[in-house]
Amino acid sequence: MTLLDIQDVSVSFGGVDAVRNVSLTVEEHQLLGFIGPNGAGKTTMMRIIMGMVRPQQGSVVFRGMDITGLSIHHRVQLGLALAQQIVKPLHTLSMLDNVAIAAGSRYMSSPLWAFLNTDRTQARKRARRLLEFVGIADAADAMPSELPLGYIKRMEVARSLALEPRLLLLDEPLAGLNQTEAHALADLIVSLVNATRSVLLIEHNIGEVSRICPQIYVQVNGEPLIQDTSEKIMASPALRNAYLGDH
Amino acid sequence: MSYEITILSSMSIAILFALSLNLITGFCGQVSLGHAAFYGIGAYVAAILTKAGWSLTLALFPAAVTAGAVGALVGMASLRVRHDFLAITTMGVGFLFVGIVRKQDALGGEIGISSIPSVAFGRPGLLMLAMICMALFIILCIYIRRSWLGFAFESISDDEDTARTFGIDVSKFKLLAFVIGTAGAGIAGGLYAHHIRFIGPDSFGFVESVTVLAMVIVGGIGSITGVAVAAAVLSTLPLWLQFVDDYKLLIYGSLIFLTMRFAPNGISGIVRALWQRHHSP
Repeated sequence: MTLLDIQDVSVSFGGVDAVRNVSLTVEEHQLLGFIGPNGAGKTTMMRIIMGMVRPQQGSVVFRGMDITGLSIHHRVQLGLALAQQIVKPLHTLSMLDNVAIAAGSRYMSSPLWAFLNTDRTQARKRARRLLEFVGIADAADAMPSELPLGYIKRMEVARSLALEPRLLLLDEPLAGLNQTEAHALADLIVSLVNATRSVLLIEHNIGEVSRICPQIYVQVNGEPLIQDTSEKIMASPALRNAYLGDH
Repeated sequence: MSYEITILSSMSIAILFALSLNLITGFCGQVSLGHAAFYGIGAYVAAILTKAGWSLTLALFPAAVTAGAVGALVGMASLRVRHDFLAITTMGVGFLFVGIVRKQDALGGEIGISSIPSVAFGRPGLLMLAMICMALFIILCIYIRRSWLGFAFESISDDEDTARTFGIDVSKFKLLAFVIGTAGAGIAGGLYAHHIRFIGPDSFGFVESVTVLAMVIVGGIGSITGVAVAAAVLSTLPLWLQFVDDYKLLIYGSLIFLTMRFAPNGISGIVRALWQRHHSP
C-alpha cells in the first residue's frame, strides 16, 4: 500500500529549477534508497516532503491525505520525521533530553496540554532505550558539543525515531562518517524498517545504499532518472553516465 | 519602617517586571526591547480603574488582560521576524506606546495621571499585594520551567526550526510566551502606578525597557533566581545612589555591554561556573 505519493512536483529558487516534474512513491514498510550526484535536488525533495519548502506545482499525499499545504508540525503529527543532513542538536540540552523532547512530542501538541504535563520520566526512559538502540547510551548525559559527529548523527536518528514516524526521512546520515561507522549505521537503518515504518534514505554513499536498499530511486539535475531494484540500478549505464558523464 | 517598605515594594515590582520579560526573552528566546510599553499599559489601566473606584486587587485583572491582549498582537510580529529584527520591531512598539499616550487627553497626555488612590492598608497593603503577585509569578515561572511548556520554550529558544521537526507549533508557543510575559508586565505596571501614585508617558519609555532588559541580562538570561537577584539589586540602586538615577541609561547600557562581553550567562552563569570549579574533583 502506498504511504507517500508525490506527483509532478516542481520547485525553483530565483528562476533556477531545483526540482522539476518529480513523481515518487514510497510504499508501506519499504526501504527506498534515493541517490543522485551533487545538485540533483535530493535535499530539496526532503524539504518538500517535510513542508520546509512549498512546491510551486504538484502534490504531496501522505497516508491518503493531501499534505501539500500543511505546516511542518502537522506533518510530524501525521507520522513524518526527518533526520537532517546538517545535524542540529539542541546545544542547551543533554543528548538524552535531545531525544526525550522528541519522545514527548505528544505532550506538546498544544501549549495548554504542554502546560498541564510535567512528568518527563516516561519520555526520558524511552529516550534512553532509543540511545541504547542506536548504540550511544554511554553518551546520554553528555552535551552534544562534547561529542564527535558520529554520536550526533546517531542521536539525530534516535530523535527522529522517538517521534514514532510512519515514514522516516534520512538525509545523508552516513556523510562525514568513516567506513566502519557508516557500515554500522547502515546496518542499523535496515533494522528500522518494520511493519509500521518505512524509510526513505538519501545518500551519497552508493555502496552502502545498494547494499541495504532493495529499491533505489535516482534523480539527476532535479529530474527523475530511474527507479528500480538496486541490482538493475547498479548495472544501469544511465547511473554511470549520471555520475561520471557520458564517456 | 516606611523607607524599608518602599524599598521592598520597588524590589517586588521590579522582580515581577523582570521575570515577565525573562519568560519571553529567557525562556522562549524572543528578544523584546519594548517591554516597558506593557508595564505602561498595566499602569494606565489600573490607575484609571482605581480612580473610578475599583480596588487595586480587582483592577490588576483588567490590567493584565489588556497588556496580555496587546502582547498577543505584538507576539504576532514575532511570528514573522526573528532576532535583531524582532528587537527593532518591539523597540518600535515601545516608542509607539509613548507616542500614543502623549496625545491622549483621556490618559492625561504629557502630564500623565496623578493623585492615584492609595491602596487599602496603605503602603504595607501595597507591599503585601506586590509580594503576593511576585511570589505567584515566581511559582508560575518555576512550574512552566518544569512542564513540557518549558521544554518546548527551551527548544524554540535554542533553534525554532528544529523545534518544528518535533511537531511543535512554534507560532502558538511563542504567542503564549508573549501573552503570559506581557500580562505579567501589566500586573507589575498596575502595582508600580499605585506605588509611585503618579504616572506619565516618560515613566514607560525606552530607558525603562533597557533597564528591565539589563536586569534579565545581568541576572542571566533564562535564570529565575539570577534575574530576581539582579532585579532586586538594580531596582534599589537608584534609591541608594543618586548618580545611578541621573545616569540610568549609561549605567544600565554599560552593564548590558559588560555582561554580554565578559559573562554572557550573567550572575547565574558566574555562580554556576564557581560552583562547578569548587565541586569538581
